Amino acid sequence: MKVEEKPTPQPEPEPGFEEVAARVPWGQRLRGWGIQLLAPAVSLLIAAVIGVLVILIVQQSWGDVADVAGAMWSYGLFNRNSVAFILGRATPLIFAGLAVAIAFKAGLFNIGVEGQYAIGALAAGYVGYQLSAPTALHLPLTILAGMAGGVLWAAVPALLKVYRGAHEVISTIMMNFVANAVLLYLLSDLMKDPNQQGGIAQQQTPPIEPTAQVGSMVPFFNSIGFDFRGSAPVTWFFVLAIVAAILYSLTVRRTRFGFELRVLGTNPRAAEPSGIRSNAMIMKAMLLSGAIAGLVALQDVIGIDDRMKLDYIRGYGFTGIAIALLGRNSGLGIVAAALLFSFLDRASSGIGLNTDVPKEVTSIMQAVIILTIVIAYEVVRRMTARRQLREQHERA
Amino acid sequence: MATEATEVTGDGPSEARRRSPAIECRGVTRRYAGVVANDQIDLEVAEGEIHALVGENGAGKSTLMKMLYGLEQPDEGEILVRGEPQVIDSPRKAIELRIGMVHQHFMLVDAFTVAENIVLGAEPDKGGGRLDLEEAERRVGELARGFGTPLDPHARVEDIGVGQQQRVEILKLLYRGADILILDEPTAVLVPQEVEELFDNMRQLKADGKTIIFIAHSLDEVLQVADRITVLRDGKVIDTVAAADTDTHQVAEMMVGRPVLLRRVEGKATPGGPMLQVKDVRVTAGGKEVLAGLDLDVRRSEIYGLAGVEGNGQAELVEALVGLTIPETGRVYLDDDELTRADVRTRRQAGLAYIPEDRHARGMVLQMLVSENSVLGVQERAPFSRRGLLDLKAIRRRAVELIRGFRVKAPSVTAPAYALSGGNQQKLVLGREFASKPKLLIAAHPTRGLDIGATQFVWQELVEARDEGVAVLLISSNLEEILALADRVGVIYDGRIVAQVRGSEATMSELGLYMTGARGGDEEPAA
Amino acid sequence: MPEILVQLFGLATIASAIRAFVPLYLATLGGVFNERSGIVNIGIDGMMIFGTWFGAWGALQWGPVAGLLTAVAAGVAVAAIHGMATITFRVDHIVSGVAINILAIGMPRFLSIVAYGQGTQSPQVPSLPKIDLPGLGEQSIMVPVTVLLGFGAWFVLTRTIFGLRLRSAGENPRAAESLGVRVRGQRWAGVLISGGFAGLAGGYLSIELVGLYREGMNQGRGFIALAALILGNWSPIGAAFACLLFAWTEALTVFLRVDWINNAFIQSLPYIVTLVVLALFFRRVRPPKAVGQAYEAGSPV
Repeated sequence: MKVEEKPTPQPEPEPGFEEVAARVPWGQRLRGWGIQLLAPAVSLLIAAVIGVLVILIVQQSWGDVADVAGAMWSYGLFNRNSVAFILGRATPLIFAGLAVAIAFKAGLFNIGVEGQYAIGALAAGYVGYQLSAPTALHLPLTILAGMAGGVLWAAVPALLKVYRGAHEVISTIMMNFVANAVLLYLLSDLMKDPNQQGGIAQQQTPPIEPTAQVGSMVPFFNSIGFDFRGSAPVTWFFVLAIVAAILYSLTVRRTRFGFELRVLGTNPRAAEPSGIRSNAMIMKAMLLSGAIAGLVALQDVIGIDDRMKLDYIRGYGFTGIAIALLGRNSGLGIVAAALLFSFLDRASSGIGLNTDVPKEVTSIMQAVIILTIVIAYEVVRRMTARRQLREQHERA
Repeated sequence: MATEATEVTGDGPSEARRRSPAIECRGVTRRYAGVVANDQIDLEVAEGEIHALVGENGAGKSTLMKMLYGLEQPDEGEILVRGEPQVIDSPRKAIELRIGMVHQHFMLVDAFTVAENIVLGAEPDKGGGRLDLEEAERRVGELARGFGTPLDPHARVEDIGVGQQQRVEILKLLYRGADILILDEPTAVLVPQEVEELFDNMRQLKADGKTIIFIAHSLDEVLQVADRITVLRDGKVIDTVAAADTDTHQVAEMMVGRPVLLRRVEGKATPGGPMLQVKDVRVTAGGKEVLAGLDLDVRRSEIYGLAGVEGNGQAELVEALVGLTIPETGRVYLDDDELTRADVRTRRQAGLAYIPEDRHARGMVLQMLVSENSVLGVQERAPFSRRGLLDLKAIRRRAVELIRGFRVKAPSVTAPAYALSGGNQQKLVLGREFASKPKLLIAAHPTRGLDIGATQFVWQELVEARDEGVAVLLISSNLEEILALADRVGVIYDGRIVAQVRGSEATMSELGLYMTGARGGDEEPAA
Repeated sequence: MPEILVQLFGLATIASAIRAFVPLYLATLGGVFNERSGIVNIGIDGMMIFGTWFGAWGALQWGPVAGLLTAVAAGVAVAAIHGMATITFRVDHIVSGVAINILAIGMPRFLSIVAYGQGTQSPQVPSLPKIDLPGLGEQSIMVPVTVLLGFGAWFVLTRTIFGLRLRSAGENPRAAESLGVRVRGQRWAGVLISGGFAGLAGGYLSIELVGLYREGMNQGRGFIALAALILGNWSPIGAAFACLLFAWTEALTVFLRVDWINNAFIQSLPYIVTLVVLALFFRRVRPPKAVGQAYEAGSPV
């Protein structure tokens, strides 16, 4: 192993000291990253192969495969609004992925992001149309209300876990169903838009005050050379999502809270003897997860549209789990995974518009990615662990 | 070498020599990812003998036994069973060859009954795959009657004692018709009196014509019961000798390759005033009082050795002292501060350090970095973190200090902790706790799993800490360790301290009597 | 009898509860097998969803009996994915189960579009002839079959050699392996049986209870089954009582009408009851000791 020299104050450094003190050499780091990227690459490849197989089974023609690939490429990436769409659709997915990931870090499975953002969106919608205040106050309050809604809904499973030992997987899912009931009730009753047209699927709140709305990023993008249509669905929430991802990474890696979260999440039995209050950490992680979850649908409610609609609860929470798994719970990985899934959504529209293949073929590819990625990461983890052990033996 | 040794042994084995040996290994080699665990092993175990296998940790005993039982396969060489070369590729195959193994950590299904445990994998069939439990219980009852004290086939395994569990393990082998029995450190979990019983059982098995290979811990025990002894070192067979022709010194020397014996480590300091005081602590778990009004004090500059059979309240006492459980009654003081209800962090900040019994599970996070592991438990202190932010440089610096000071072999401080070998992980935990500048150090079985050299090192560190004024509470089931280090020895039995003696005056047999409850409990603790 | 009592315990409610009992209990029985063998299966819900889709599809092609068998096959096939992930590759059981549930969100829609030209629903499918149970009205023939399957599961787990070995794999796989029990094989059996039960439960839903496949028709029953598994203490008999309770609350969503409670909340009764059950019982039960732990014989890593 090549190591950097590092001077030490000791007159006689013990053997191996330089090795110990040295940081990991760049070559080794690059190799490590390469191995980490291997798993997603293999997983994407398998997803593509299975996508092709599915098209061949359904349509029995290679021509359709070429059509689909072409549509995914040209429409998915190079349609006039595609980049705006991808960034815009990635925004809720980043929040959802981060919400799942922060809980993951503490060893918790928050499958309740779906219900948490539903309640968050309701709360934000309510504050958005009910309150009148200047933007400087109204907008932050609306966003905070969204986060508070998520926190509220995450608090129930968190409390059940801490005080009653109930496993969060089942309780968060149950909370999703209860959230659905709350949503139906409030949107058809207390928060119903008096001017609403149409049936149950169109249920919505009254319009939100302009003071509670977040602006579109289209003017910004167009000012730097893009040519998006004015209605393209990308707002400043995208920037907020990136900031959230950066803060998440820093928190996990550089703060004591993140350190203790990781101890709890990777080896819960070591947490208490190290002075970490497991229950307090579980509460914090779950509530933080709920707070981030509360942001998921806000772009739809106070950015792209101007009201909360039943339609906005559309499975981001479950996709968020996939994003967190694919992104290995790292901030950068989550952003990348969200962009990928968002691209697949966009490409799906292209397939629907320009080919004879059902556009849902991309949802199969997403599912395959999820299933193969968990296996691929596990295989890579074992490979790395074996290599470490081998190196350990070689030293011994 | 093995052959020569056989000729000098007594009549049993030499008579057996005329037939093929029960087990013969020829040039057996096993490598793990670059390290040679077994190197050209030649071993011959005669039929009807008790053959002991001794060696330091990592000498290759377990690997060899695993190969005999089909849990691992040799890379080179061959294994002959009763004269026939065999490929033992699974426990199933070993069972077919009538080879059975009792693992050090029992392989029992706690929720099953004794009978279910014994017949599992070879169940009597009532027809059509139906389990014939009555037949199973009948057969188990029969087997148990022919072998030592009675055993209830209907009892759940989790409800019976350790000694009985071990007999269930042995019955499992007999039920399968095994006549070559491998016992992996069978005495490690037993008190001296139970060890006697086990040895009686082993002699009875031998009289019934069984062959026993046993991996041993204590050399005295080996000489008591074994016919022949094979010594392993660094994966090689050093020699096979007849027990009658050797003594502990000679065997120990063969094991470590130099004349070393553990002896009492004397320090310079004399104990001062009380540092830890425990008064009338009670803890109930599962409806049973596991700590029954326990009193204890440990002084400055003192090593207090807590002896006792495992499961008499040691684990619960440690948890109550560290702050993992809060006792129902009683008080705990550290340096005159009451900490009875304080949480772990408060206690650590007040000067407590803790080396958990299960270091890999409770003292480390193997997937996290070596550097991160070297501040685990003190992560909130400056300079490792300030205002909630970690100082990664300071953390790395601490890791380097520990690695140097405690001779930890680590590839780099930014490697994950699982890249360290077990012994080095343990040294890292010990070093970390010593380095936290404690007033009180609670060390639970600090040398378990370490070889002789590392054990000596840890003992030296404990004595140095004591000499610097630290109060050390040493919990150990290894009486040799207690006797070597403790200034004072307390015996815990049934959740109470039943005896207290000066370390220099304690003897193994006396402590053994207290540990089994054969004596004590009513008398006031002395010393 | 006061109206509220009729709503709570009337024959219509009980008959409806019996109908709701079947899929819940079948899914829970499956859960008993995988958990007792040591594998956590959060993916039961997804396997049920595949069962609903393939059940309806099979019934359309070849009739209701074949439909149910198709559903079982679908459940087993999806369970094989779970088995491969958890047993062969030793992926975290919950991660794999969640991945399967996500698979079950997108995949049936694609299949529906290919098979029916629209994403959310199948045409009406043929059902089995109904039987008249005294006092409980017309019921599916699957009701007595389910009861028999429950007894069968109990018998297999507690009275057969296979059952003993399966349980040993979930309690102490190392001990089992050391006695020559093939732990992986037992776990595969547990997972595949579980998938079969979950598929059958789904098939019953689409073929027998509703008469067609509709997106979202499973309504999280797989998760309620997991709660029933806990409440029933991992035993087929205990699970029967737990499932009766949950099935009854499900029937109440149809029959209970209270002025001062919005119907949306009555609809969420099964989920609230599940939460309450989890809160009250999770700590008092004893799961199989090694459940959720990866196992590989003699693994150094």
